[in-house]
Amino acid sequence: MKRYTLIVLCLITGFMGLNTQLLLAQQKVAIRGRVYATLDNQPLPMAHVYEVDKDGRILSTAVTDLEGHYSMLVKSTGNKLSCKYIGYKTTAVLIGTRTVIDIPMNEEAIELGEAVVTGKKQVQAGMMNIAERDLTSSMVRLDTKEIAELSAASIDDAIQGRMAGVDIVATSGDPGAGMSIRIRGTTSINASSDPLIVVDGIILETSVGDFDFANASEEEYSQLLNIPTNDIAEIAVLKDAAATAIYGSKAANGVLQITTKRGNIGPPSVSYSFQGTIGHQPASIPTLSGDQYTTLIIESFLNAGIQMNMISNPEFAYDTNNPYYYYNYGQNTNWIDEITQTGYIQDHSLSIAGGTSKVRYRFSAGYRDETGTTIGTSFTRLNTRMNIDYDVSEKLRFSADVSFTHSDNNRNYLSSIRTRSYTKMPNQSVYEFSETGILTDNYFTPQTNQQGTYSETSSESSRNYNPVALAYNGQYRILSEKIIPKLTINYRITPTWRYALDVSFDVGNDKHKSFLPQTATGLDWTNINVNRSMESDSEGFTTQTYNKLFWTPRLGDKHNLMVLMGANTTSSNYESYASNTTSSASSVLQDPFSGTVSGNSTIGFSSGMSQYRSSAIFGQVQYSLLDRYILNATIRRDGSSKFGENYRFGNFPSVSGRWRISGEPFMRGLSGWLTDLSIRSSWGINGNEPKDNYLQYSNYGTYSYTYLGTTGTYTKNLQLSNLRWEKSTQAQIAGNLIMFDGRINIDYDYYYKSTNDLLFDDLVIPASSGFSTVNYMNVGKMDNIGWELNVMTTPVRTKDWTVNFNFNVARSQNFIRELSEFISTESGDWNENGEYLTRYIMNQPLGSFYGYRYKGVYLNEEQTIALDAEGNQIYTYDENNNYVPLYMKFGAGTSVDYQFEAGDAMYEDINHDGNINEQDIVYLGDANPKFFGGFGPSINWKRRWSLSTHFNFRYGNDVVNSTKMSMESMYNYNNQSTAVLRRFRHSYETTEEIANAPSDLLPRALYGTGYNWLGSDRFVEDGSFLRFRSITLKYTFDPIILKPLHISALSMYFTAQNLYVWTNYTGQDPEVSITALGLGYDAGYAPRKKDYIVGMTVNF
Amino acid sequence: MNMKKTYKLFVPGCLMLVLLFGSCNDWLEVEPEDGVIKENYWTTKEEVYASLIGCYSAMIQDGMPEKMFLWGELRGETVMPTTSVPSSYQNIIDGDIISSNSITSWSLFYKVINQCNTLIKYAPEAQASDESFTDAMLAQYQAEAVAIRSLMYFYLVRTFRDVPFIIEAVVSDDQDLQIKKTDGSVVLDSVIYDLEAAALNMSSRFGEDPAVNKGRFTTYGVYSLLADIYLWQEDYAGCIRNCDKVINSGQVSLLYADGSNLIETETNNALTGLLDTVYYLVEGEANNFYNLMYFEGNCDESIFELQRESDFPNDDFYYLFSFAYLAPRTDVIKEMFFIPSEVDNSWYDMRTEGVSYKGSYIWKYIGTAREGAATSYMRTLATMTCNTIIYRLADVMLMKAEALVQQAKPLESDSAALASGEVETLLSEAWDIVKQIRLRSNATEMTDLCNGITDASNLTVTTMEQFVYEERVRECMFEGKRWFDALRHAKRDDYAGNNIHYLNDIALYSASAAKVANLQTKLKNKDFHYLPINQSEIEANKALVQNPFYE
Repeated sequence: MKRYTLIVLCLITGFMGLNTQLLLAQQKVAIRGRVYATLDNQPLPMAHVYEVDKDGRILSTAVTDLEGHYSMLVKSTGNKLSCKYIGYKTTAVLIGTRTVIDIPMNEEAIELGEAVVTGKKQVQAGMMNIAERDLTSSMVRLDTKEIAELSAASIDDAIQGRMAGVDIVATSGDPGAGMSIRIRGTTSINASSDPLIVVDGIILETSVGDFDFANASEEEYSQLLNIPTNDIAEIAVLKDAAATAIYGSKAANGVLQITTKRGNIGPPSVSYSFQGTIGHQPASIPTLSGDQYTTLIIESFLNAGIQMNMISNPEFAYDTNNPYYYYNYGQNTNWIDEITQTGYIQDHSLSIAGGTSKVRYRFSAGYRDETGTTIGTSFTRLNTRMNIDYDVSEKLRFSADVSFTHSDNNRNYLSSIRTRSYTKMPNQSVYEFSETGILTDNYFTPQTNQQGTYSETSSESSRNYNPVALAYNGQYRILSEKIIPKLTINYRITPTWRYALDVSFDVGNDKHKSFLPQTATGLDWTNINVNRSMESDSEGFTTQTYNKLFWTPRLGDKHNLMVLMGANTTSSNYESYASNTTSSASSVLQDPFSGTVSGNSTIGFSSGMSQYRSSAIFGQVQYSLLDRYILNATIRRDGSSKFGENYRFGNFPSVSGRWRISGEPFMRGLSGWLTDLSIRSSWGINGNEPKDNYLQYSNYGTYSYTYLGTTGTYTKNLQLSNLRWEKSTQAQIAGNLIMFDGRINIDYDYYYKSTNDLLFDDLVIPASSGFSTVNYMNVGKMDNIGWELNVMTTPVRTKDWTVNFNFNVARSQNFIRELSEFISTESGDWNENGEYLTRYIMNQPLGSFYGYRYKGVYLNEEQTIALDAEGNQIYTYDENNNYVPLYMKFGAGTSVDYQFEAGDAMYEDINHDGNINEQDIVYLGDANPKFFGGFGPSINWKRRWSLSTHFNFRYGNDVVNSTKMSMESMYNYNNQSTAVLRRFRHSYETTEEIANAPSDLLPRALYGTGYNWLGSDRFVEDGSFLRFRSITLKYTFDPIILKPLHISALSMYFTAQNLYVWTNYTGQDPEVSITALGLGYDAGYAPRKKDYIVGMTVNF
Repeated sequence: MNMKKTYKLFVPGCLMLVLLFGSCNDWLEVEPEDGVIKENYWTTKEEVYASLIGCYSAMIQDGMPEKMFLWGELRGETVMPTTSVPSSYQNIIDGDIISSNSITSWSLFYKVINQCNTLIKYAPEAQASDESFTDAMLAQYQAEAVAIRSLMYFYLVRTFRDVPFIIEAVVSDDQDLQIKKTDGSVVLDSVIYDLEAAALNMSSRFGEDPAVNKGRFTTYGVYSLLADIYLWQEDYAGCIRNCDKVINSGQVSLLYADGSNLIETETNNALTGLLDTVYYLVEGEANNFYNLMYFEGNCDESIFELQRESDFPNDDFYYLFSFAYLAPRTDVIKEMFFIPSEVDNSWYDMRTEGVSYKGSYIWKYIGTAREGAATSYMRTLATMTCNTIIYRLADVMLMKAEALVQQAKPLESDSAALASGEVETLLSEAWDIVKQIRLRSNATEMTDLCNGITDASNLTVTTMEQFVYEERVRECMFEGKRWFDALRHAKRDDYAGNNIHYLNDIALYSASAAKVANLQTKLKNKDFHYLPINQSEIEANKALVQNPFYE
């Protein structure tokens, strides 16, 4: 309640100022007169005459007739009359006692050629507007004009590789998939590293609720999709602590600051743009045909010492006497092709913008319809936005922004559908053949075959389902609505004092619907997963207020001071409801209402509620002396409802400065070509808070089931009295160099960021306490060190030609400095196929991984004899005292104890003991890139033709090619890539045979045994890549041609995206995001598709 | 610049900010709306009761039935892994036991323990604010919590030997969570002490509803648990004392113990050619036995069993037994425990096919009826509401029999005791118990180790020990007791004599053929009889030392 009272009070006090003046209205007086040009004494028709009070507020208006006459009633004779006419200077005269007032108008002198531009471009840096050249902190900006021709649903996709130090990686190529954004690297060990997103000064709520529904799809839904790129005027990234300190406790991961487009003074301008895109999936990994597959499976059994029983495995028998199996398992299905389609996108946006000196407005609406390249995936969005600024007077301005977005995202029920399609039995038919061999319309989905059964509890890779049926009949749909109204009042109290109030509401509703069709799983009708449907609703409501007081005293030419004080409150409420039901009568009845709720604890209804509040006071000072010495200091004190009394409040200070060397007297001689040379430095502290609420309490919950008819209660969590902010302290030194009138513009930043009290979620604690994990704990310290270089050049600038070349590169390294001893420092099993060890090692980066070294294949039995360090075969005496060779073993002396045979994978025996075990595990790679960035030349000819390109790259990161691993393991019933046609099939005995053995021979097929696909460097690849991200050719029509058509501007363009990737990586796409433990796995999700876009923009 | 004006605005502005922030602390105090926090709980007796029910609910949470079953049965010879068994199961069976095996995780047991500890600590707070909350009621609730906690520690000690012994409620991260292990025997002594005290405050019944009487700990449940712990601690007098309290209570009775509903007939013995008297089962009675004891549950014989309702089916058992990760090892069962009669092959033990197992299913849990094809009388996940029996009368009677035999054991070499007939009395009493159990199940003569003995004076301790031991397998098959029974016999008198054979014999059948020799070698080390502490627990709790065999 308190919150609302506060808002209402603020609003009322705001209006009070207005009302007092309205109440004091005086006797009206009639005024008339004539408006004429002083030059020739001609009347000016249709000129506007305003009565204006001393604050510049318009009280009444009149328009002159053809003779230039006007008449009006004025409210006070103390006011002024003001007259405006295009091409003439605005003239104001005092009314006084006169009742006839003629207004002479002077023509406006056009002296543009002489005008010296001394205005400094002001940019919004946090909450203050500061001239760009006076910035003391690190901030990169991008004008969205640069990316207008790209086909991107959300801004993160479009800005990838365009800003130094901002590492953006796609998590999947499917529509609506989120992206991972890292500003200056990963700073948190496994709490969130996502940046704070600020839209027009208001923090965007990126999650609706903190509830964990049993979702089939784990990918995050990208909230940035709620801001269409066409509405964005500018995007800026605040990187260092000085820039972000004003956002205090939430800004440790950097801030993405988005400014939306607003209206300008001028007649209404209507703009329409269209984009059409065709997307193609890149060529898939070639897989075995059904026949090749069957041969492989039978061979893998024989190698494992099992003779496959064709009676119990009719799937591999190809027995014409058993036509049902012969047809249904005698096909050559390419499952990937079956679920792939061509993607289409259409994107329309319409905007109307304009304004007068009093009111400026922009209204926009957009519609985007996207079909993904995997069947069953799509994204549709409808959005509108209205931004209005109304200057009530020179002192008072109201702004109202309202945006609304509706989106509908369809995904596959399982995000791993593409991976599964690669490994699905290719001899199995998509549709069922009848007993007599006639193809039917039904999907062929046996409940169980060699590839297993569908079970929600097992890992996705071991579930058996028909991918085509799942793509067509299954669904995972996210419907989302987001409404963000924002009201701003600006009041200039005195010329030096200004007060601003922002009140913003953020209303977000997400609905998730999923359905697992029986046609895709073939499960028995009593099974819990038959036609299982889920629907969940979550609603979030957030109110934010900002009270800001600005003081900009005039201190003469030498000093420049700006002071900001303010307070901020945030209050969020979340509510959610979910229902899970099962066993609806048909795969067409997908609504939860059609199902039943009994049978399992995961079936039924659940709901939740949660609340969060925070408040802060802050102050900021920006001071510059002689335009050369610039200082900025910020302090913010934050309080959050997420912490207990001991650690509820935190202070976040920062200091930064800039020395403009080029402004010094001794540098004057260089001013001909040196525009700006500055050194910047900053220091500051930021915070990061946990995602969950109420952790400072011991919360009691109820079991979802009863015992003896009563619902029992239990303690949900360990009360965290000592939980506190994650604090990151960042220091940086940076420089700006601008030369040749801005044609060369270089920024360089070097930073050192140290994060203390690292938040670690789901930390394992002694289970003997009764709690196996604790939601969050502060566990250690991590450092990030890195640099960023941003170069913008204009090598050619002539009358007809403009050539730009921009380049950015960054490096970010993290080091673990301290870690609580209670964190398990190692994960992964040394003796499990497919597993890599990851370790947290002090002073080493997060993201290193370890495994064996792969040395090829044992070509014959002779080669499996162990060698000592000199390369001699090792012999030993057995229990019968025979002198026998020592054969290579895996895990000798443990439960594993496997003796290698000819055809097995050979691993390097690092310690030459004839035994491959954990002692032979070595460092294999690092998932962190050494450098990343982007560059792009663009050419403009006569302002008609423009050609722009963009490339982005990552260099020096290692990727685990999981797809290759699962498609070359020959260990189970998974289909494999055609690479396995090069597998070991016979022993190479003679020297000639050995010499001629293929160099890329793969190990033998071995069903369910052996160690042919241990985590080794065989599957670790260099993930460096250079991607030809986009090329755009654009033609802008000559306005003279367009004028008769009443079109003010028209341009058309063609863009191609993701045309080519230069890489040594052999998998589908080296662009993979880093998992929590710091490993980059390429699991074969939909890679970036190739897009071809045609578009046009027209203005009326 | 008008400084005066500036101050005029500045001072109230600052004041306002300070005031705003001063009241912030209250404003930031946000409590959950969809739940309750500790500070607002513990005010009424109803809340304490809900918390007690929570302790019982915790015992049936996902993973608990599985662990309780696996710890007691997986290393036994009556269960067999199938091809779909998870590797974690297979590794335990084969003796390839490593600390990263998830079966070694004890977290759920300690979750129950902490709930009990929390109730014991905070229930008095509720009594202070609720006048209708009587002392007796408080004592009763606390005693039940003690009983549940004791049962959990008994499981832990039998499985790990030495474990952290925590009887203080863990609430906040201010507390020390790094707790050392306590010697298992010390833990159990302490548990016995608590239980003896708790027994005084327990109810013997909660009314007419058998589900409540069997689903909550009653005095009889506590006595049974005490008897079991005493037996493990080799305090036979204590065991017998507590068994007698149950057996003589008149509140529980064996189902069809009198044998009067068997059909008596004479048949030709295939070997001797003579006429033997054979008792046939009335088929319907056998069906009824299965139905009451295992399908419906809470029969007259039951003492304490964990209740299941259809709102929370037993997922664990469904996956274990329906997907058949584990199957009955029928060859061993048929050759060793349910040997068909030589007199008349159609004369059979009631506890065999149809009750304990059916085909490749562990039927005590997954079946809906004794007769009929397995596929048509199987529970689905939605109807997987089988209770988990912890104690029933037959179990307690056999505990007593075992204790009697063990009491007789040292006396066998004592001539005075022999002469006074003390040994005979003890053994004959044990024999009577075994006979009672066998009669109601219509056990065949092939499993009667005392077949042909008519006079109790001919009984020997060795035979009776084996007889009781084998009878327990037949009676409590798949009820989570097998490995504990074998280990109890093996460790008896500090592994005296050849006691270890109890485990070696099992290993012969339980492990994969290739692993038997290896497993038997490992079993020679008595530290191997207990599971390792789970790796993640060792990492999280620096005060813990890994169990000896697994260091």
